[in-house]
Amino acid sequence: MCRKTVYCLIAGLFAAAPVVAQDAADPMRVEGTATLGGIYNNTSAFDRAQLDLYQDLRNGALSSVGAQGRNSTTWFQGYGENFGRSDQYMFLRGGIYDVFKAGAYLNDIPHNFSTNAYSPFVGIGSNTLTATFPLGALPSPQPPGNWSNFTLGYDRRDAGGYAEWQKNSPWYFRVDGNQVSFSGTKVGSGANGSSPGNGFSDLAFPTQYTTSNWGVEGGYQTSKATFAVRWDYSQFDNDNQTLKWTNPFFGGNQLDTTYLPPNNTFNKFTLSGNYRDLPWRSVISARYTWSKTTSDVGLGLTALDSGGIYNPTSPNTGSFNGEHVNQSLALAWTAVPAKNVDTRVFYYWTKLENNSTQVRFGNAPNNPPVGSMGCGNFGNPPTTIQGNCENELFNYKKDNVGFDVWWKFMAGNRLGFGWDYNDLDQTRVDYDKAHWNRLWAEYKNTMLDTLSARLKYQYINRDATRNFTTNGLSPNDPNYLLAYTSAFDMQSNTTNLLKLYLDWTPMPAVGVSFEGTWGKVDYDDVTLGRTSSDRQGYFLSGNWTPGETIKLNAWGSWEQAKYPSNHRYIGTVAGGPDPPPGFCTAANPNCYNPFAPPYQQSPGSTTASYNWNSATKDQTWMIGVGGDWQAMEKLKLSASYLYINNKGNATFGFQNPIVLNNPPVLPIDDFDSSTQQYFNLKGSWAYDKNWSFTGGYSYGKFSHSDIATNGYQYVAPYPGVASNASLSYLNGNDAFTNGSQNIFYLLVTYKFDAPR
Amino acid sequence: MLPKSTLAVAGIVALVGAWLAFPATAQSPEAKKPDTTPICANCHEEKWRAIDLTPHGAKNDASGSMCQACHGDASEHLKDPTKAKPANPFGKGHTADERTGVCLTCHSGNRNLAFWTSGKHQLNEVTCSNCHSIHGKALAPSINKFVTTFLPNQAEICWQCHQPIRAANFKPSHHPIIEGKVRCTDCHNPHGAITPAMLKQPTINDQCYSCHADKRGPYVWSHPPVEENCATCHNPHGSVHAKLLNESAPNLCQDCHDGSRHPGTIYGAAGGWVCLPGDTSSACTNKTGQPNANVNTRLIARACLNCHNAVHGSNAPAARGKFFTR
Repeated sequence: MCRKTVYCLIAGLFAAAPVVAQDAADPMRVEGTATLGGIYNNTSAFDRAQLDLYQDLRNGALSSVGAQGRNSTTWFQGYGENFGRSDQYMFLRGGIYDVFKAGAYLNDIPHNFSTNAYSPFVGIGSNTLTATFPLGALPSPQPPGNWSNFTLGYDRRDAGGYAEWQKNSPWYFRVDGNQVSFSGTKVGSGANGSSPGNGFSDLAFPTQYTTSNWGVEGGYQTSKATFAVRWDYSQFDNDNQTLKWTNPFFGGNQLDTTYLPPNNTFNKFTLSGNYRDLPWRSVISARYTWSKTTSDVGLGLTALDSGGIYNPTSPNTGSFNGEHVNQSLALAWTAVPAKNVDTRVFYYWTKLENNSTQVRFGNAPNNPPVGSMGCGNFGNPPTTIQGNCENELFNYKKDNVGFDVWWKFMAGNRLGFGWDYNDLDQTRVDYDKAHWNRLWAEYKNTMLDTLSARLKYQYINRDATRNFTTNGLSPNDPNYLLAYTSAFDMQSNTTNLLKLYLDWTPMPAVGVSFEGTWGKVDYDDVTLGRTSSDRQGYFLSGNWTPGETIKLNAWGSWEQAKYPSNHRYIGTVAGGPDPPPGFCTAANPNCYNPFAPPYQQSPGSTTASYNWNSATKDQTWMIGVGGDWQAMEKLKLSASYLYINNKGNATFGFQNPIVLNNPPVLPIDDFDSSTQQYFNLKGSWAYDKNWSFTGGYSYGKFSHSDIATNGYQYVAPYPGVASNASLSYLNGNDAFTNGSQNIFYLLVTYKFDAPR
Repeated sequence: MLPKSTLAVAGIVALVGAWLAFPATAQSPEAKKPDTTPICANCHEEKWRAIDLTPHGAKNDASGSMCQACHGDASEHLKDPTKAKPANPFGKGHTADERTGVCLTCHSGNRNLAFWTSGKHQLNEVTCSNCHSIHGKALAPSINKFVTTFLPNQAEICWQCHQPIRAANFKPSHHPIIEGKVRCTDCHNPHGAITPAMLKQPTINDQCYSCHADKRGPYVWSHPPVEENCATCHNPHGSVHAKLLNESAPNLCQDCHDGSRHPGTIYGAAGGWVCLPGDTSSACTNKTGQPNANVNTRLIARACLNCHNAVHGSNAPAARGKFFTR
């Protein structure tokens, strides 16, 4: 397929040939390059996914072709690289000045999650994954040679084009479209049972997506005003909306069903425009959008449950019709009401209206959900009937209004300040309202020729309404805890953010830039949940051109992010009927009250309730240096080195006198810790004005250390017992990505210039 | 049957090719205006060559009116090139408005600049020449891993000012920006927008869905923080955690979800794959370094997502969907 696409585009270049053969008075002048060479890659890694990220680094040919040309009326530009490789890219565009322009492109991006994955299932890539459990033999040692071996990943192709008519300027008309296709598999998994102790199975989700996008736009554009109307249409199609897989837990090797993204249709209308040349050099800008996203799916009438039987799910309707209507309105007025004063006033409104089907599974109490289909309890205790499962339709409306003012109060001194107010209304079970104020101020000094400095401070205060209360609830009721559980995306908070920017040119040919950021979000009135978010970062870059032939460049940074949080552990709870399921046991009353004294049945027992806290931290630093040296008139050398390091960890604490020793609470020393190193060396020799030769060497190294993958096994727990129905089956994703690669490449380039 | 994408590209290419052929087949008997090298090229040939085949070059003429449109009147300079250089509005001493105004003289009618005055760049005195150099200014030496693309990376321009973004782009989990496959302008409009962060789309989610259409849903069971703002959990510029997550699971999930049993459980290192020093549990006593029989499936691999995989939304029935396990 890719070769045929290449031929199409090369044919297009030839189709443009007649343009070249114009009369001598107005010749088409063309310049271009063509590069051909090869790459040799010696990679040492069990899983190359991280080293080959988004690129095709297989041994083979590297190539590029580019050409551009014009005469007084017509122009074209075409380019393509890495033909036939899974990361190839090409475009061709052209037109007649002030009449029309058009173009087409193709962009391939490989996405590899694991180049050496394993699975006990067969049928990888299809919508049915089967296996026979218990497995005859479990992996020992690794990797599991008797399992399916495959590449977990997909190829993404984006091909599209546009055409725009401009002859009737200031009016214009444009159509554009593209199709994005995914082919392969992606990372997925499924809980084997209905309890976390029942294990899980890594599943390669089939990924055969096609998204077709079209747009039509017309408008009017002058220096005084612009106006545009646009319609966008997008159709997302998924060839596999369900995945069937043999569930090892429920028994009988029956097929379970995982539901994958549904087909959807998206329509959007956009009106936008602005008007200039008003008093105070004002510009008024506006944009309104309306869009509708729809999906239609049949609802599953049964689901696999214990004993290998398919229990009814009892929906009140046979299908779900999803419909989201989104609207937005943006208004802005910028003006210069006085000399050296710039202002902006803006209003922004967005709305999501969810008109999707309200679905109820189960009809308690007459026909309650059976097996493990239910959601909570129906009614109030002491009833223990399984509750219905009803979806919640999420809607929101946001208003944002504010202003910015910039005042150059003295030469080289500029002061900025602003305020904006946000109001959020939403239908969400835990928070339905929030509003926040943002204030900022900035000072910029450019008085010195060689130094400019900018200091910015921002303050945000958010106030959110939490819906859950403890009114009418006993601290033995699970719902009692909801009033004390915060969601950090909505919880009231105060944010302070400080930024410093410095640009310094201490001497000609030397430039230094520094940026420092310190920010903290303090969440208010948090009992359980994230208590704060603490980030700081310092970034430095510099460049030096000591002579005409040498350029040097370096940059580095150090960053840190911390997320402390509070939590509550509630161990054994009642199984019903009295106390009702999920309620505190008689031995541990008031377990859902976070202010209750900690309880533990006996030292080390998991029959306990207590508060605990955690703090995750990421520290990342990186340094890179690079240089270009025109060593001789015809020889240019380039080199660079980049090192990136992240150290992540998590610490824990819990109330006294709780004793946790089986297992003990140990801090996590490696939470996505990683290092990356890249070295490049390249030389280019210009043989003559047309021919040049380039050769180079690149070294890359990646290492990853994480509690989630250190000591990884393909079954959990390990060593596995085949007859254990609660065994988990894993495929190796993200577990064995450490490795290094040595890349050598050699290229020949031919270049021709347009005749004068 | 050729795939639809190949047919689409072939169709558009054929159309482009045919239209490009129009001038050859439908020429007027009148001679077209020939290209003329501007007089400025006699001394500034390299600068001229850089724009010759571009629209800037196409609008030029023998007197260099395009050159002077940007660099100022050169009539005195032409009399004695060693003296009286053109005013050059891009030099020091000129305000950001003056430098931008040179370009806007011609380009203010460009609809891609319609919201320039509302955008953060204009308000922060970023000028056209900070990012654009029509004469092809050499970039600083590139510092990157090996990339197969021969094209210069657009992000190197943006990184000149946006250093924290550069740092994020190089983290292990990232959009393919450093590989040159995704550009900053795929999401942002640096020429101004009236959406916060100068996004091209009205909201963050709309921006993400423009490439990730599989996340659009609508789903039977939705996860409100997902539908309200993808950036609640993800950092689109890059992260040290898989899938661009801001924080590693299970901690990210537990920052909102607490309660009895496993949501509120401590997932410390003793639940990892290997028995660690200091682990006094029955499964790991005297077994440091050996596989941990008490490995916790809520900590290893993808943590909460091992079971609650459908975290972006689910169409599964009943409890399977509500708890995102299918």
